[in-house]
Amino acid sequence: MSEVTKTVVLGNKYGLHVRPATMLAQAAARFQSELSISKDGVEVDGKSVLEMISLGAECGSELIIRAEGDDAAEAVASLEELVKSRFHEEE
Amino acid sequence: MKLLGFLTRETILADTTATTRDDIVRELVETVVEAGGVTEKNKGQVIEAVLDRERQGSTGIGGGIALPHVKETDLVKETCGAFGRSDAGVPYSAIDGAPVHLFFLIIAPKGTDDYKGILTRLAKLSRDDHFIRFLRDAKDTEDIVGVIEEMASEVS
Repeated sequence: MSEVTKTVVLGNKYGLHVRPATMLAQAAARFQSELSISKDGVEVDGKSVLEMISLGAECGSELIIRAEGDDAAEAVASLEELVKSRFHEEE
Repeated sequence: MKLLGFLTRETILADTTATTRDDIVRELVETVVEAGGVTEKNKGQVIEAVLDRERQGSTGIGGGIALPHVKETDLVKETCGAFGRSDAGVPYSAIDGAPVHLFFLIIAPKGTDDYKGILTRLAKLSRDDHFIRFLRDAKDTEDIVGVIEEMASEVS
C-alpha cells in the first residue's frame, strides 16, 4: 500500500463542473486505490461526481489529488493528466 | 425569488411519467415554457441544446440524480429551470448505470455565472442523503417546495 499526493491547478474555464467531475470520477473508477480530491482543506471522494462538484472549484483553484492503494501512483498520474489537459475543453 | 436560483413552484413536476431521456428532457423544457422562462419559439432549440449536451456525455451523476443543462445560451434571458421526479426511474446512461429519479434542469444565459453557484449549491445539498430521501418521499409539489426551501436555507 502506498499513498501519493499531487497538487494541481485547475486551468479550464468553468472549473470543476459536471463534465470535468464526471471525467475525473470515470478515470478514478478504473483504479483500486481510494482517491480523494481536496480544495482549501475540504476533502471529498474522487469517485463521486456530486461531491467533487460541491467543492465549487473554479478556474485557478488549487486541488490536491490523493490516492491510497497499490495503484496509487498510476491513479494520481491519470487524474493529474486530465486536469492538465483542461479536460479537453475548447476555449 | 427563485428556489435555488432557478426553480419556481410552476416548474416542479412531482410525478413525471416519462420513460426515456428524450421524453423527460422535453417534458422539463415544456414545463419551463409554460412558466414563461423559455419562449414557445425557442422551445425546440432549447430541447435540442439540452439533448446535445447529453449526447456528449450523460449528466446522470449517480445516486439517481441527473443535471441536464445548457449554459451560455442566447435562448433565454434569465436563468431558469425545472425539477422532475420519477418514481419508476428513467434509464439515463448515468455514471453508475442506475435509473434516474430526480432531474434538475438548468438553463443559463450568456453573460452570467449564476450557473456555477447554482451547481455548487445543488451539489452541496444533494450529497446529503436526507435531502434526496425527503425529495423522493415528498407527497406532492407543495411538499417538494417545502423540502427545498427548508434545506436550501442551511446551505450557502
